[in-house]
Amino acid sequence: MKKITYLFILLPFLISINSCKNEETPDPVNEEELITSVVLSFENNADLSTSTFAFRDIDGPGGDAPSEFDTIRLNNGYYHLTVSILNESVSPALDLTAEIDEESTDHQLFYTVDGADITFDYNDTDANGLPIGLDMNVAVGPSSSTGTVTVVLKHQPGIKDGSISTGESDVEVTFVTETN
Amino acid sequence: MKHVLFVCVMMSALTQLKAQSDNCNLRFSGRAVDMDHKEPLSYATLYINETQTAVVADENGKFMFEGLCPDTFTLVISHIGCTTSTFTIALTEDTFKEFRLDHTSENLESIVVHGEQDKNTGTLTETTLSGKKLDRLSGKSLGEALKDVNGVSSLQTGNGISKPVIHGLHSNRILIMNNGVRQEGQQWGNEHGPEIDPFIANSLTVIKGAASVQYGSDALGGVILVQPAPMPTQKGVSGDLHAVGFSNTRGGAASLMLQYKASDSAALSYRLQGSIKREGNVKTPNYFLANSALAEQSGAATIDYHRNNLHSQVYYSYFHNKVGIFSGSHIGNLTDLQTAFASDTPLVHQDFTYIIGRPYQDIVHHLIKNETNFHHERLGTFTLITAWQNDLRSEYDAHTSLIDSIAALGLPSLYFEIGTITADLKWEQHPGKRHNAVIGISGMNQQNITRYSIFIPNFKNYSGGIYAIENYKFGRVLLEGGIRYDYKWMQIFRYEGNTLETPTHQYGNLSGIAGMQFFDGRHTQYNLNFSSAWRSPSVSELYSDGLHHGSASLEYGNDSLVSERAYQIIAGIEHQSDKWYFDVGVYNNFIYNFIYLEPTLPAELTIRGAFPVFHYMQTNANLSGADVQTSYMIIPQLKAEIKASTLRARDVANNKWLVMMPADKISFDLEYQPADFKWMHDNAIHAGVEYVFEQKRAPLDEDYVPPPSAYTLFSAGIEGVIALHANEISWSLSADNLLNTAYRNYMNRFRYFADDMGRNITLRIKIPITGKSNL
Repeated sequence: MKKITYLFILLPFLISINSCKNEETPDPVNEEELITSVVLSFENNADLSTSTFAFRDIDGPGGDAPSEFDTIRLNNGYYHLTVSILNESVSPALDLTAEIDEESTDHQLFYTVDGADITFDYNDTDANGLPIGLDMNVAVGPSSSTGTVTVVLKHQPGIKDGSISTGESDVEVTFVTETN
Repeated sequence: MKHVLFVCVMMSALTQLKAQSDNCNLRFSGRAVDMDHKEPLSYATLYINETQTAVVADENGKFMFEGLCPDTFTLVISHIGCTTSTFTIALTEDTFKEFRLDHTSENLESIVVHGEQDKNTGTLTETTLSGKKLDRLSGKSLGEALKDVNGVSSLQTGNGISKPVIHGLHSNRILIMNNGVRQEGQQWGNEHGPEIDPFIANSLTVIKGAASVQYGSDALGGVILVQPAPMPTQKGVSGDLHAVGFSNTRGGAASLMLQYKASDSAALSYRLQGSIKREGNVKTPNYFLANSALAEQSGAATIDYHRNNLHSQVYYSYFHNKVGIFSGSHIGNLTDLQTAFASDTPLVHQDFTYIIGRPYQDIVHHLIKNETNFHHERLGTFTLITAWQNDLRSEYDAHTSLIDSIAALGLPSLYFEIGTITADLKWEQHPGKRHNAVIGISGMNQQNITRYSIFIPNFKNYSGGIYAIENYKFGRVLLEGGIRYDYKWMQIFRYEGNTLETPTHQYGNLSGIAGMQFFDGRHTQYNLNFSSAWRSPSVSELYSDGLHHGSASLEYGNDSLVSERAYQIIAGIEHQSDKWYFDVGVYNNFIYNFIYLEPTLPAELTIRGAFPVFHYMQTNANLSGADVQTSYMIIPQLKAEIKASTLRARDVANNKWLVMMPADKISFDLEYQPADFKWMHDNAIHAGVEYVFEQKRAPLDEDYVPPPSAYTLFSAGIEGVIALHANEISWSLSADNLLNTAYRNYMNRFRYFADDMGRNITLRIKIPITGKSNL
């Protein structure tokens, strides 16, 4: 009967040998989910010239400081704004804008202005008639001003209600903004 | 209970040796029972006047004296609620005898829970929850159940995740021994609960103090022993069925245990146990907590071989739980966090549901172990425990991937798999009249894999330890001394950019224990213990890198951290007489190089806004406190009990308080035991009130919001046993937070966002299974 005992003792080892694949060397992790960049393209309605301002933090939160963080500088006039949300930590870069548009009933971009003479109006709506914010009409006033524009992308799965306090923030970038 | 025997009875069965020629080697064992019901007198104190030796009976009233000479002895047996009785014993050979005491008050043994002598440790304070005391907590998670022990609190992440905290320390600073095996999961995380179902246990023991010498490094705060019942000794099928229902979460738990032995003398015995638990959303007094449902399934199987001096057992346990993480706690950045704080009620609303949505955790833990004891007549007892465990933790974020092809895979956002092999060999000398020595060695190999995103890197480690403990008795004094050396080698595998780095770390240190115990022979026992333990930094403390979603902070590890070392002194007095019981313990735990998260300025800019930054740093910490528990029998049926615990935890290097330390608390309970009524016996009615102080001793710069206010909670319950034919069905109905008070607990990580659980009424039923057939 003692053979049973030997078997008993060996059992955990037999199982562990089987499970002891040498897996400790990891593959570099591609963080597909990461959002690294927000690019704002303002097209001047008068002359169709485009001004682009971006925030880029290629290695994601932590690590290196943001590689690009522009000041928004616009002259008096009317603009058409399109937004790109990118993951540039992977190669080739992933453009997440279309994905957000596809899930537009769960997402909304908000533009909060503080001190700058600039106003944002939604130019797009989701299937439920709520704004999305990837496509905006922008008006810049005649006065010289300096302030900020905070761009917030909210993830509001099943709870989208047009309010900035609902859901989880995927993006929150405060751009210094100068107008004249 | 009759089919269940306690560990030391098994040990005594193991030590059934022929009487040796040495005259003074007689064994005197027996059982202390209640005169009326023959119920065991758990933890009765037995004292032999002539030899000035004392032992404490186990849960089943069983006790044993060893190394006695043939003589006539005076045996004094005392037990709370009983008249202390004296018996004269003439000993000529090994003897087993049953003693009946007049128990003036019934079933008190269920309430008396206190440190025992000669159990798991020599001179450290320990508290065991077993029998009725444990039954009263059935269906709770391990962390919640252990809160019943004075000096133990829990670090909660809502209702579903609860980590035990002993004297202010938790996670990597305490050890959990799951059926003799060091539990290894991802214990570094505040929201990573122990992967153990308490239904597998018939006793939960908390050792307060740095018991590292016996159990291994890291036990700075203490050790928790989760022990299944001993295997059956009588033939046939037996077992029990537990059923529990909770009103608050409209949930329930059930556990079935069946065991079998072909004949009384059969070498093999078998046991199967399985349990399920399902709870819906938690209701606070004013609202439901969105996505707070949970589901759990676990089970265990045991095959036991026991013949003559050889005992070997294979044990397998499985644990699986899926816990919803309260939606209101899921935040993307600091603005979200501040919006949540500013609101009195959670920003996410949901009515009652059993559905577990995102975010959630899904955890599986396997353990397979063998324990083999060999008892040699002269050389003593050898025990070898080998075990393999694998812990799989998947964490699912609130988001599914924006990229459809990835979302379709349904992968977790974070996945950890840690596999651990342990082997422990121990030699125990035969308990002699004075000496008792234990020598052991242990080894461990571990491998961790992280997938899908990197919060901690992959690693592997090898560690080993060697120790010796000696107990020496003279008269009424027990002295204990022990020393241990542990060594750990660890290699990390991580990418810095696209370059693989494989740094190694080595740690080696001593642990020690020295203690004494004095028993006055009748009622009072004094303990004094010095212990020292160490802990190597965990991988999360060395290499954490990045965003911690749960706390909206950036956490950075520090690969130059050194080991922590604790020096602890703990002193206790335990007194038990006819009416009075008290247990007072005071401690001071000084920890050199205590690892903590230091907030660092400036905040770091990310695409989600600025995040506060924390770095792992080291300081010197001092934790001191006291636990007091006292009870008094006002009249034979009415008992009053007061429990209080206090803790002061300082960062002495920076002269400030330590964060997330349990607040002081005090509770008062009354228990009345009415007479038996027809087929109902062991009836009891109890009511209690608990006051938890506001934690005013917290560093304000390390937390987003100050600790919540003090609160008072009321509880009440009734219970009893119904004798139905030959079955004794235990039942209880109890209410926690009876007045449905809205409160927030400092140790609950959801206190930022929501109130704690409202009134919860729990019905518990336990049906013993006693098959008479021989199958």
